[in-house]
Amino acid sequence: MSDFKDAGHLFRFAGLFVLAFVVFLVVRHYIVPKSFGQYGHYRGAAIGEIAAHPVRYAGHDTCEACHTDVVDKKSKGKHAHVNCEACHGAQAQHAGADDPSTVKPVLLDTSILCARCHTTSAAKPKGFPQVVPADHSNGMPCNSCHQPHNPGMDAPTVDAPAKAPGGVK
Amino acid sequence: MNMNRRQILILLPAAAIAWKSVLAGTPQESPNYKMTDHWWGMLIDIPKCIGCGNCVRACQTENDVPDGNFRTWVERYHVSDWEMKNPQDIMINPLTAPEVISPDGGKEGFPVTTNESGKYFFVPKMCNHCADSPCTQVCPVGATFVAPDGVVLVDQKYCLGCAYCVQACPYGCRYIHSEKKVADKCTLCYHRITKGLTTACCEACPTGARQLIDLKNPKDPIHEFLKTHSVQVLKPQMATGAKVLYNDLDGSVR
Amino acid sequence: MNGVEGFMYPNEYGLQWSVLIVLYPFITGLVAGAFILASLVRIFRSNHRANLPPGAAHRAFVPVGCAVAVAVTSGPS
Repeated sequence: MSDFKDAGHLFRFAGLFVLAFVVFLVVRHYIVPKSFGQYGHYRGAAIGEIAAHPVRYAGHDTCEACHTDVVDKKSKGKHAHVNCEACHGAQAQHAGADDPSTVKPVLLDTSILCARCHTTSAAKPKGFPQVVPADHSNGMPCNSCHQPHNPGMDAPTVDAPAKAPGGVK
Repeated sequence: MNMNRRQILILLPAAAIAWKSVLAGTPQESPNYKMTDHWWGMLIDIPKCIGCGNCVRACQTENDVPDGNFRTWVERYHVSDWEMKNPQDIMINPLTAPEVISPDGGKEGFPVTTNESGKYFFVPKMCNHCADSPCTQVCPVGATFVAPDGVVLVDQKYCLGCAYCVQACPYGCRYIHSEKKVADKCTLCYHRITKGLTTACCEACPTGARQLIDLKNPKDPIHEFLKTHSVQVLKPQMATGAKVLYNDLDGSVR
Repeated sequence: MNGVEGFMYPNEYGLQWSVLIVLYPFITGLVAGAFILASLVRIFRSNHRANLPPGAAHRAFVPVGCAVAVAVTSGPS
């Protein structure tokens, strides 16, 4: 014990460290968020916050719930696996509205829309239907001859744009 | 649609109820979703991709991605005939072999090419939601993490914006959000998949090149697909445990 | 993308790799150099204040300050 005769200053210094550690534990208890460490080294509540982001695309199941006639027509043609919103854009507002006919999807311009996928390019897979728009249709919109929901030329002829349920446009 | 009034009166409220239940709350509140039942990933079928860019635009619409940043993007590779005939002579020169372009991430599609020589293919890329993720390892504060269902997420309230994770990601899929100034990236549309919907990019893909997969779900078609096809991941040498599986991925993809 | 030859991932355009590749070895060099100089003092058992010119203690902070300024201003933009 004689080794510790003049070590008083060291014990005081060590005491400071212990005090600082205690202060650290107290402050940590208050400022670390409550859900931190719930599932891992992160704030567990963040998962819920991220999942609460608003939805913009309704999903094809929601469209198909009402627009069954379009689904029938589409399932017989080459666009059977093309989802509604791939062409019509995000429609969650239309689907989620209390009266969907008040939120009308914008009528699409086929001469721009169809060209995005179907313009001929050496880069596209060989079996994929491709045309050079200027040669093929001479600038006419694609729905002059093709019905987008069932685009084959042997399908029923072009009819008017999709009507809302009940035949009201 | 020619439906009589009775059919509309039944269908509209039924659809509204179905939609409202889809929108109901967070996964902790939603009784249908248990995180431990899922292990999310994605399957990308290279031969089916036509480079239309629908996925890039859909992701931007769904998730408010600023212009100039990309949660997902499409690259077009062109391997020339010379490279294919001279594998022993290829200098690994990143400037020429193979030619890779991604104009604005492929958002407005790709320029038409008439050069029939060589082979072309499109490679859609996104966050790989790595099981052994380098980006979550380097975060100094624990703002990015692998959720229990396998999705790598960013806690934007906790993120400092130091961009260490942006540098750490070997796939270049993270970015600093230009307005929020915190790290951002593909969330695998977590707000959609927890409600039974599919991701925006899969919804918009016209050829079915992108498919959401749930590796823990025994009924998921991915299991049958894996029995009959061979799949690869990007940069397997980084051993990240990437969960985005590519069918028919060419060896020259970086 | 403008001004990029070959291909760079779209999101990495914000990272200025050409600056980082130079900056990181520079900072490493500063730290290693400071360590070496500090150890030289011990090797030669220098009598610190007497052997150095006046104002040396203040001037020693100049390269450190420059390094910090470069690091801070070349952060995420």
